[in-house]
Amino acid sequence: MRKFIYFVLPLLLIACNNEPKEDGKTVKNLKEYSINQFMDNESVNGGSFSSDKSKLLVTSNRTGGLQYVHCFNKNRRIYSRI
Amino acid sequence: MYTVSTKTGEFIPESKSDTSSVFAISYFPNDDRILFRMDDNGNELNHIYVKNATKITDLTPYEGANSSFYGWAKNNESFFFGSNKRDNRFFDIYEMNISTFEPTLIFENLEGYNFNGISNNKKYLALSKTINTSDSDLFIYNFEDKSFTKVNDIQSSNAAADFSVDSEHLYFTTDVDSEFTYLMKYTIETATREKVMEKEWDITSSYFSYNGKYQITSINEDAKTKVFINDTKTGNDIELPTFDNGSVIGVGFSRDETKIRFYVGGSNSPYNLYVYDIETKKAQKLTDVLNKEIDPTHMVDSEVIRFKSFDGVEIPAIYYKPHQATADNKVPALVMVHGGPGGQSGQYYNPLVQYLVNHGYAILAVNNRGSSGYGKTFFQMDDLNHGDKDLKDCIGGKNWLADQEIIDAESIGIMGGSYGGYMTMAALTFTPDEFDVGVNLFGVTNWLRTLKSIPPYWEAFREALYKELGDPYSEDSIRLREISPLFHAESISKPLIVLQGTMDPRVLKVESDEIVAAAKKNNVPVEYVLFEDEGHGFIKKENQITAYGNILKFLDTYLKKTEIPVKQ
Repeated sequence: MRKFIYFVLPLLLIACNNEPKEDGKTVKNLKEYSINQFMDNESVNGGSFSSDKSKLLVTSNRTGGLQYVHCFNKNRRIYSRI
Repeated sequence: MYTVSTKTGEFIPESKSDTSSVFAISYFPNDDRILFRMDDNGNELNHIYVKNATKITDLTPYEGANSSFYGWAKNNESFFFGSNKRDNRFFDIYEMNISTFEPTLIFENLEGYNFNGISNNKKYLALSKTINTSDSDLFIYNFEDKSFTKVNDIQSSNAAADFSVDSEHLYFTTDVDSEFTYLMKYTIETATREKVMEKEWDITSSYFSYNGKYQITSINEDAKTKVFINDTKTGNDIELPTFDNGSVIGVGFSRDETKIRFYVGGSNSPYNLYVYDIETKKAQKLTDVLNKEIDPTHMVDSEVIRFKSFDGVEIPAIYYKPHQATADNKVPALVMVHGGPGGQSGQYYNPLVQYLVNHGYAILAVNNRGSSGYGKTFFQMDDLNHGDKDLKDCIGGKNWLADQEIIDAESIGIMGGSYGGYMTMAALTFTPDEFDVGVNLFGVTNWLRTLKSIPPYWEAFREALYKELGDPYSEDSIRLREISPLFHAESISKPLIVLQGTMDPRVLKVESDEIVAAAKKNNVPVEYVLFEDEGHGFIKKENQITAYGNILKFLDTYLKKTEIPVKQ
């Protein structure tokens, strides 16, 4: 079903997940985290292989304000960005 | 621009980029040049850029026009893109030669078709035409004889999935005689159709890897995406590794069909990128996105619940229960409403949700009638009835929350973005006693103005939206005025926070300006957070920090009441 949804927030990841439920696990030492701590979680999207498959081109908000493009090589080093 | 050490992985800023939002498109097929897109701070007028080792070039420097990447040609010598530079209402299709960067107009879109795909032999286009917000006709355009052939025979929801690699067939999804979409195969030569795949939920996409070795199909299974990768030779699905902390989504193949990249994550975990080698069955994790200061067990998993609304209709919702909550330590809660009309809240990672749940707010993301993913009957149940039964479903969600022994029934708010922001304002104006606070992210408040100010390039969809919501130039305008919160703002009696991007082309800033001014007249606490460099959705991290931080502060003050609110 490909529908146009006009009044909607753009979703970067059009995908969801399926995961096992916790089995009554209790959470220890629950902490409330600051918004800065929460937004330090990186958001990575996309992933286009380079012609030699050594790198992937992705969009990420890793360093803060902006969405950047960067590339991963096989050794998970990031070496080029916009 | 940034460089990063290949030894340590450290990021080194070379220069500050401008303030626009950059999104990766693709590597070039045979070299390391990069395509990316960028708009002006959320104005949705994207340009396509190429970056080589030394410079960045705007390939679509058409002022005021919007350009979208449509894919690489099979021979790797060009790519296709759509642009509305000729007629701002419609997107023509161009082919960009990547040796010369000269674009060629290949399809002049005079009648508002939507691009759905191009065959590998460049003989056929798949085009859809919107009939209403449910249904679209599907056509094949033949470049040689310039003919259009309609693929579906009766009105239904049709969309192209992919051409076969040999260009002889078009795979498409339809919902003829079914609540859910299924996959069909259309043979172009004989104009015959056959059903090839059906699941218990909507098939949302299906496409082939570069040489057709694999067919990758996604379904929307009760607000979660599930991916199947079928080996087209054996007909069997290949097995992907499983992970404790989430499932596999966002699958993409290398051109030689030996490697897959995918993401692993879930409602309680942001997504990590992996590369998987099909032959060795080895998965390599490339990112570790969760902040080291956050204990992953402190995140909260979602669950699907269902409740009966006022008229007996069963409404699905996604529930997040804070770890702090017990019968002795009741927590405040929020009903969250998605955009749309016709969107869906899914079980995926949402930083705002996790942030609020971590701070002790239960959240119920209600998929009110009219939401996608639950069949076409449910999807159409809100047509020309917005702000009424769908709002009652949200109130049903509030009542479900109030019945939970861990929820403080006296502290339940409503929150939503875009159409969900409209629902938030509709709740505060039409049912002012139901919710204790409202969080409105760029919500529509005046339907007459919003429906009259749709950007021209939405022309192919505008009439469908009018059919669902009402035509502001017709007698529908009476109803549209009745359901617009701005004209009933004198009823707002609960604390309100409004967040808006100045560049938003869909819900204009004036919508928020006016509702804020009107609510303030009622002497209720109103907070207004404005972002000059954001559009319909907040993209930049510093703005997300400001937005989400302000929402929590507002909720702590007026819903949790941890601080004595300052009298206005």
